[in-house]
Parts: sequence; structure tokens; C-alpha cells
Amino acid sequence: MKNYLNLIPILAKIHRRQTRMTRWCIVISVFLIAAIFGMADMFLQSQKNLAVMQDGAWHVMFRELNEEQTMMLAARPEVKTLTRYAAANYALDRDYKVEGVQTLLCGYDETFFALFPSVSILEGKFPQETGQALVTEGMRVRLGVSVGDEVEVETPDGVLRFQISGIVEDTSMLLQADAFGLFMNTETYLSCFREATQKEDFVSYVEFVPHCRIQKAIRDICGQLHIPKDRVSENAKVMGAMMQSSDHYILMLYLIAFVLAVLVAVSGMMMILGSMNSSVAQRTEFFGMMRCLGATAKQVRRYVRMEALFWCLKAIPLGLLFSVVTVWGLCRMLQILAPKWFSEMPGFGISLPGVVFGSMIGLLTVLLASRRPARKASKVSPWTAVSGNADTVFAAKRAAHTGRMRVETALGLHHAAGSKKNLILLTSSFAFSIILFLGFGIGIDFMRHALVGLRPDAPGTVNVEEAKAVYFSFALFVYGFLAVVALIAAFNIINSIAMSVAARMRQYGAMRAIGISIRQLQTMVAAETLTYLAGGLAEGLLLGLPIHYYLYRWAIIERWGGAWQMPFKECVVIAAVMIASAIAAMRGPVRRIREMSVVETISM
Amino acid sequence: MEIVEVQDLCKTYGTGEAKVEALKHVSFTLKKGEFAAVIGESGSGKSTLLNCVGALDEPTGGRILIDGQNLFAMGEEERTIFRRRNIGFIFQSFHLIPELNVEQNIIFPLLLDHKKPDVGQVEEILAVLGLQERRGHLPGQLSGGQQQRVAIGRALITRPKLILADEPTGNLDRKNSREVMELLTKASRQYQQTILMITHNPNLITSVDRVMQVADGILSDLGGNVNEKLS
Ligand SMILES: Nc1ncnc2c1ncn2[C@@H]1O[C@H](COP(=O)(O)OP(=O)(O)O)[C@@H](O)[C@H]1O
Ligand SMILES: [Mg+2]
Repeated sequence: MKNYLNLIPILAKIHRRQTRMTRWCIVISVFLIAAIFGMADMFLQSQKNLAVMQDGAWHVMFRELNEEQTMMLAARPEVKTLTRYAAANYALDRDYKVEGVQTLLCGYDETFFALFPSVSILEGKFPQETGQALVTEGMRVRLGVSVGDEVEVETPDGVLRFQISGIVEDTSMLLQADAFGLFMNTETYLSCFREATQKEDFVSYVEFVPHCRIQKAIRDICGQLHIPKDRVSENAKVMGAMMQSSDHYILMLYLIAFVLAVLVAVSGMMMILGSMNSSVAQRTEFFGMMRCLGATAKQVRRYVRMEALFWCLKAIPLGLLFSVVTVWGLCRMLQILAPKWFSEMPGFGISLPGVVFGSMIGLLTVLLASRRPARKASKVSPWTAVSGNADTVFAAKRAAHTGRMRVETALGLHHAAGSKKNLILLTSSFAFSIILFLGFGIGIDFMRHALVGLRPDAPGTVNVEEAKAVYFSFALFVYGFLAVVALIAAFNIINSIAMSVAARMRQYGAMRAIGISIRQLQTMVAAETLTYLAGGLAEGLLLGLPIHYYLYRWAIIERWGGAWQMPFKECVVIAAVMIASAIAAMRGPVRRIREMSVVETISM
Repeated sequence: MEIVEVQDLCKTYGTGEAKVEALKHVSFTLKKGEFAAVIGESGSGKSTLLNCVGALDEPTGGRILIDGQNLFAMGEEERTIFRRRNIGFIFQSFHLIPELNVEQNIIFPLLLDHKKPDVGQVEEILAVLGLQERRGHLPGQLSGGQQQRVAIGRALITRPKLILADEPTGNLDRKNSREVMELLTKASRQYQQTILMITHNPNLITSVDRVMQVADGILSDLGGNVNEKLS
């Protein structure tokens, strides 16, 4: 053994019981953070794939470029694919007809199919010569035409004749309008519309090479080719899903996701801090002994911090594993609920951002959380190792008030409220969950208001499937996060009570010897639990309701009007979760007290 | 009158290879007001004996009667209440309650019974223990000797029939040890309390009425004039 820190893995087995909760807290924090980022990543990936299917894979569209600008643009190293595109009768309201049916006429380069993967050639090939054209499946079915046939288009300027070179899929727009489509290469298009069309009428869709910093590339291109900014538009959905958008709305969404992850990390940190505090309190004598044997306060502090890092070795991979499995499950669920919308969801993908952020934020959380317990441990005096009065680390500085109530109740209250720091830490971490729950509960109202516009008959809605999918993903997001917050609250309460009792087990043993009954000890634990619970609820509601009020005004009233209402349902739900957890939290410690061997406990 | 009656007491820990017979057929009685000391080497079974007599541990065989009542015929709750009213404990490592001050620690057994402590009696005990000035202090603010005096006060407050002390001077220096012994002797003389005390220190048994020795789980009575025999 080269160093006292090498003791950590050896003593880890011996201290397993006192550190178990801390290790689970780390696992859960890492799990939640990795799951949030993992889910967000999967969601973005599926949204990007979906956006590519709907709007195409292009990133940026340039309007009104001249021939020189187009050539220079296509030749740039950032540009992976460029396709020119022009359309006549796009609104299907002019007299372009085949056999009396409204027809859309487009001209584009062959590269079009690389940028719009949702359109594919069913038969034949892209027109290589002037005078050839692709026609839509609908035309083939209704007019019985096939590759090689001639087709005549009536236009306001006379009749155009094309030879069919291939058949393409119908787009949903053409299907809905019951119209035909006829697509030719750019040269044909130009020759057909020589008078009516200028080259400037073409737009150029551009897909950039992977890992290109698109906003910078756009700036460079516009600057060097003298293209005004207003002739450039972005494919907002695809760029948004790639986190390259300049769109404020999408940036806002990322900000919200990031804030949520930070909030979860903060509550995770409070959880870890609380559990580390008591794991240190339970090992007071060990740290006193280290000091007795000559360890400096600084060495003890390092020991505690290194120990926390040592747990991360196992806890972080475990948390990541749980998150990966959970993300798979949630993706599957979404696919089953709204198959078309989420068909592009990766099946068994592992999210790199999830893993990276989960482990990094997890590690950071542990490092931050371990500072205070480490300082506490380093302050244990060598004397504690030999005195019989353990628990001195968090011992109160005042005596309990035993005058007015029963001693067991008074002591229970004092265990909770005797150390102000301990009380504030615990009630605040409970209150934090309430605030998160109330704040995020607004998401339900938001969803209700926002989804009114997503009714299937509302304008702009593609179909019922889309409304359903948006609803499901939003509901999953909102309720999923509410569930996570409730879970944290429950775990935190159960954990805190278990810790608090475990740290005082010796004291309870001594009291049993002196003659306290098991029932009285139960009362004591209940009084302590109730104090934390009441404090947490009071603090949470007192802070949470005003926050709810302001958030509600900002997110709902300013957009849709209406008046603020007390979120009774949310309050009841989170309070019920907390009360139920508190009741559950007492069961384990009470069982331990009942099964405790007095002799073994006091001679520990 | 017999306060403690131990009959054929046996205690074994573990099974098979790890089996330890800590007490082997121990029998003895203690009269009211008797101050008895138990000596013996470390690991001989002294603490086990004391814990069984005090109902902290359950014997494997035999009977224990305190003031005529069979401890292990009672239910758990009943036994606990019996213990807090009739048996006082003093431990080597004080085991005071860190959140209660000196006075509250002393009256703790009464508070557990929801009884109002008698002011005169509390004052008397504080005076006897020399802790009047310290009544508001927490255990953490006291020296070892003072803490042990508080523990003695706590054992005396209910006027229990029996006081059990497991090496009460084990953590104390000579001066404090002598004080503790004086207090215990006084309790047995003045209040007619029966005391069973374990000790390592042969100097402490000069003032006791009776000495018993445990060796390898077997108890033998050395009688009252043990000091001459030992010397
Ligand atoms: N909980 C236990 N489990 C197993 N063996 C025990 C236990 N407690 C005590 N012993 C054993 O019983 C014997 C007597 O112990 P103890 O009464 O504590 O001795 P003493 O107080 O005289 O030093 C010892 O050999 C000890 O190892
Ligand atoms: Mg012993």
C-alpha cells in the first residue's frame, strides 16, 4: 500500500451499509440526467429524420441567384449537394392541365432526389434529354400511361409535349388536391418557359457537408458571393433538430431542456449531499480514529472526496445502463403509440450526448456535493473515537424542550429541528420537488391550450396522426417529467428518514436499555418525519405558489388570456406522494428499531 | 428479601464451530441493599451476565427473577416498562442522550413514564452528584467523570430496586473512579439499593459487600471478605 487513499477500496466493503444510500443516490442522479439528455437526443434524431422525410434534407435555400452565383455556390467545399428547382402552377390554380386535370410542372436537377428522400422514382429514370419528363403515379393509374408514352400538357401559352422517362411517387399535396405532377430537368424547364421564366426564378436548395458550422458558412457565402440575407431561408425543422438553427423558438426549447436537466441535477445534488452527510455522521468514530492515528484534517477531507469518486466508478456506469434501457423502452412506447410519426425513432441507439452529459454532470454533482460532508468529516476531533457519545458531528447545540410535550415527541422534533442546517437542507430539498412539480405542472395547461390548434380539422394540420403524435410526445414529456420529480421527492424522503434513523441507531439502543419502549421510539421517528414533511410542504407551497403564479402568467395568460387559478390538483398530488413516501419511509427504520439487538447496538 | 434471583442461567452464542458458551449454569441471589462486584478476565462472560439480568439480552436457559417477577415471562413492552421502573443502568461509555441537558438526562426515565419529576428529589440528586452548576449543559460540554455522574443520577432517579453497572469506571481516571465508587456505595447504604457492578480494578472492591468471580462462563462466589483472600 503506497498511500492512505489505497484504503478506500479495502474499507469500501466494511462501510458498505453506511454508504449504500449515497451510492444509489449517485446512480439515480446519473440515470435521470442521462435519460433526459438521451430522450431529448432520440427525440431530435427522430424529428430530424421526420423533417427530412417531410421537408427534405436541405439545410438552406437561396432565391434569385444568377448563373454565376449558382456555379460558385455549387463549387464551394462546404456544399455537399446543390439542386436547382422551379415550379409552374404551384398553387394549382392556373390552366395547366393534362386531360383536363390540374397539373403541377416542375424543373429540377437529378440531385433533387438526394435532398428529398421521401420522393422516389418508381419506374424508369430521371430525364436525361430535353423533352423528357417524369410523371406521377396518379397519372399512370388514371390515364393508363407508361414509360415511353407521350403526354400533352395544355398551358395558357399553348400545348407542351413530353416523353415519359419514368414514374414517381405522388406527394401528399398532389394526392389531396387530386392533381397530377410532371417533372423535368432544368434544361427542359428553361426551354419550355423561355419567355415566362428567368433563370432567377429558380431556387437553389443546398445541403452542407457533415459537421459544417452552417451559420458561419451562410455568412461567408453571402459575403463572398454578394447575396442579400433576405434571399436565404433555412429548413427550420432539420436545422433545429441538428441544433444549428438560428430560430429563437427552437433555441428556447433547448434552453428549457437544459434548465430542466440543471434542476434535476440540483435536486440530485441535494440528495447526494444529504446522504453523504449522514454516511459521514454514521462513521464519526472511524474518522476520529483516523485522526487519532495521525491523519491530518486535510487527509480526512481528501479521503471523503476520493471515496465519493471511487463510488462513481460503479454508480455512473450503472446509472447510464439504466438510462439506456429506459430510453429504449420509451422509444418503443412512442413508436407503438404513434407509429407513423415516430417510425424514424432509432430502435436500439445509444445516445452519445446522454452518456456524456450523464457521466459529466453526474461526476460534477458528486464532486460539488462531497465538499461539505468532507469538511464535516475533517472536523471530527480525535477524541470522538474514544468517547462513548457518538453522533456528535450533527449534535444539536441546544437542548430539546421537554417541558410541554411527551419526551419522545420532543426528542423527535428536536432530531429534526435541533440542527438548523440539517432542517433547512432537508426541507429545502423536499420543497424543491414541490416547486418543480408545480412549475412543471403548467406544462399540462400549456398542452391543453396549445393542442386546441392541433385538432385534425384545424388548418395546417397534416392529419390526425400528427395531432395524436404531438399530443403523445408532449404528454409523455410533461407527465414523464412530473413523474420523475415525484420519484425524486419520494426517494429523497425515504432516503433522508432512513439516514437520520441509521445515524442515531446507537442512541436509540441506549434509550432502549434505559427503558424506552419500541412504541415510544416509533413516535419519536414519526415526530421527526412529520417535522421534515410539514416543513417541506410549507416551504414548498409558500415558494411554489408565487412561482406558479408568475410562470402561469408568462406562459399561459399572456398567450391565451384567462385568469390564474390555484393549482389544487397538483398540490394534492405532490402532497399525497410526499405523505405516502413519508409513511413508507418510516417502515424500514421502524422495523430496524424493532429488530435491533440492544446489547449489540450499544457495544458497537 | 431477595431482589435478584438467578437460577441455572445459560447463554450460548452462535452454533456449530462458532458456538460460544458464555454462561454455564449460573445461579446466585442478591438481597436488598447488597452491593456486589463481579470480577473476571476479559471475555469470561461478565457483561453477558449483566445484560441477561438487566433483560437487555435473552438467556438460552434458566430463570431470572427481579423482585419476585420472572423477567422473561413478560411481553416485550411490559418488560421494557418494568426495566425502566426497576432497573438502573450505568455503562462504561456513558451513553447519555446528546440532545438533552444534564437535568433532562437525569430525569429521562421519569419522562418516559410521563411522570412529573419531584423538584426536591432532582435537586437532591444534583447536589449529591455535584452537578448543580452544570444542570443546563449538554453531555458534549462535560468531562468524562461528569458524564458518568450524570449517568449515575439517571440510574438513581427512579429509585430502582436494582442498579447494574458494567465497568462504570473503565473510562475514568483514578480520582473520578473513586468518586463514582463513593456515589454507588452511598446509594446502596443510603437508599438501600441493590447494586451489581462489573469491574476490572481490584482496588475498587474494597468497599463492596460481596465479590463474585466469573471464569469461562462459570460463576463462583468469593464471599464478603475477599480482600484478605486476594492479598
Ligand atoms: N454477540 C455475541 N456473539 C458471539 N459471541 C459473543 C457475543 N457477545 C459476547 N460473546 C462472547 O461471549 C463471551 C463472553 O463475553 P462478555 O460477556 O462480553 O465478556 P466480558 O464482559 O467478561 O469481557 C466472549 O467469549 C465473547 O466473545
Ligand atoms: Mg465486558
